[in-house]
Amino acid sequence: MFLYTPFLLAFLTVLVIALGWRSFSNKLWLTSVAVTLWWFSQHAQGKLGFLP
Amino acid sequence: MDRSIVFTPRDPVLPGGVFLNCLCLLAICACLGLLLYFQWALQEPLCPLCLLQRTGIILTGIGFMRNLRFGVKSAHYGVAVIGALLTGVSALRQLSMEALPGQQAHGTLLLGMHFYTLAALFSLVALIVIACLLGVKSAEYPATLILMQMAEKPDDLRRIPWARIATCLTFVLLVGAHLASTLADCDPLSCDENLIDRLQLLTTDIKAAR
Repeated sequence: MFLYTPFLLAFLTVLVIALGWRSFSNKLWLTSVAVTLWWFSQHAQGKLGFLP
Repeated sequence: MDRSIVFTPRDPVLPGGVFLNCLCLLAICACLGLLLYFQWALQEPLCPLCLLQRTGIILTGIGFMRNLRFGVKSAHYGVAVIGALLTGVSALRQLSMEALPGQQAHGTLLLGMHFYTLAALFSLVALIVIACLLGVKSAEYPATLILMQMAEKPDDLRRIPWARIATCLTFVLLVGAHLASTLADCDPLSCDENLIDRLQLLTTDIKAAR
């Protein structure tokens, strides 16, 4: 699960919203928030900031 | 027909929040476009927290897009608030790691500020704007009234909301462009692709210690 996973989930969410699938878009949005928070928790423990 | 049961307008009735949501989504599209420009044209390097801030901005936009697609609701503003908070938290974390005295700040400057400072300001402004929009929202017409009006005038043609469609389409395209650019520019340093390996090593070490 790489750092572009939140982008992938957010893109799927946006597509599903555009298609009008309300309940599925809720689930996808929740998943993308959870994945973003998980990634943030991983980076908050280690070295942060711009990498050389 | 007695409408007081379904709708009691506040005095004065403010203009609809759909237009304002369109403006907010356009502003977010402008932010996303600017980030893409800096990444592609000016070769701004990626970093893990920058990517999380971008995700937060996109999640804020999703709240406004839901308002445009499914109607203005408080729950959709909640979605936008959570996105703005995610942006702010990751921006403040990066700010605390790089912009304090004695630390070295990296990255391009825009308006004299680094991108994480701008992301923190974006989060603050987004929260203020959403609070103001929630005030306008109470004057929105409920769906019941619109259905009643449509039933009273069945011959009236519904206009196609081209502005809403165009705004949402722009947002979808920009989110897709961000996904593509992240996929293209990700390397083990910026996207931390060896994180899973490190976690597995950590698990192995813990098991070995037992």
